[in-house]
Amino acid sequence: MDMISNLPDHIIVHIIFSLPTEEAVRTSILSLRWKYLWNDITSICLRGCENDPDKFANLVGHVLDNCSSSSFLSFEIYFPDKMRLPRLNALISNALSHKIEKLTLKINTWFSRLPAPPLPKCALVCSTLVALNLRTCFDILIPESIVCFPHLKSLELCVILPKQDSVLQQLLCSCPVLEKLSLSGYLDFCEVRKFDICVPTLRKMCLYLEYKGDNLSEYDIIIDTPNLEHLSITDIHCLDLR
Amino acid sequence: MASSSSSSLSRVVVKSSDNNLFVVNKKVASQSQLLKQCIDNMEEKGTNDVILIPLSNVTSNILTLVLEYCEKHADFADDDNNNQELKQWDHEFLKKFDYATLNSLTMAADYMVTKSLLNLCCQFIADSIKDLTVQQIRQIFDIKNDFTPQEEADIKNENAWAFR
Repeated sequence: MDMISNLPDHIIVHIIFSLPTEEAVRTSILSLRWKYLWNDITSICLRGCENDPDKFANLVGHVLDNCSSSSFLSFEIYFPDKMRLPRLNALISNALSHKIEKLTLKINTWFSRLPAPPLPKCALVCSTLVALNLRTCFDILIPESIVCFPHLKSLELCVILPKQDSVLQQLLCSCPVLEKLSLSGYLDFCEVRKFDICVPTLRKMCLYLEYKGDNLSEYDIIIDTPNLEHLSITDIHCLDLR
Repeated sequence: MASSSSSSLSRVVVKSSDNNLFVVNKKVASQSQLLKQCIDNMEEKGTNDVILIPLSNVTSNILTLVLEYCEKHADFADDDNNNQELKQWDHEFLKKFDYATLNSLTMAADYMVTKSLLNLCCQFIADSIKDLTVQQIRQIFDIKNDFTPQEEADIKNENAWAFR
């Protein structure tokens, strides 16, 4: 008989881990034995692009409520276009209460009207994060003194750079073990045009700078990173980098 | 690492559950953590004899396949894990097998602690059931549906999004 049988639970769980998250959840319908096996998944990737927001929120809620693991390694989530921000923040809060180490967020909407949404507060206080990847342009508005990422090693941000350069430095200062920084910044709205990047532990840095208008002439970036091994700077307008 | 004073084996003999013997060189055998552990233990003891490792759970058919995999991967042991040629080979290797063989190969990879082969088999099985119906998956995994009709309906209702 050409079939798969007699696999022990730990191998079945391994197979379930290899499925996309939605498919993994679906295995609960197979039999009583399979009903709860998916609950141990350690990596979640949910893409809600084509679903409607209600269904997607149900899905995320269900996955988070049923996962027994308290140490998600990774939570990657792509929000559908129409999801509104308060709801999004509520979902992220729920996700982060599960001691996530890796978080990737992408909202597939370009926030065309300013201001862009601020970085979700709940992400800023999630002390378990090791890697944070925000693929949507957030405004880098940081409430005073709440930020601390004691374990964060990799930070990938796509931001509208702030009016005051101190905000960026404040964020970087709160990551005492940061090793990798990838920053896509939009410069249109910054007034200072001078950025200090001072991170003693940093080993790899990629900067990608962009602006829409053509009234920007010069900016300064001061890089103080004694342990840097890899540096890449891209300015799409090819300004002289000094 | 074994200290310089201990012996160094160049090959081992592995015995399948149906009593066939396979001579395997050390680099190939080391792809299996189970075999590697046996070799390391013997080297620490300073044995110079060729050692025999019996695998009571693996038939010679399946052991041949595991060793074919280990041989290929030993050739690429010094490359990074992203070697495209090796990935292609992995895929072609598994594509040939029916579910029953995949089943045995997965169990053997788990038993012999050949982690990359176990990952590969599980990913391959996952990919092959991804778009199937619940009924088809039950058939492949020989699963008896032991839910009552009411329980099954409840699960479907509760997770309506999952069972479009």
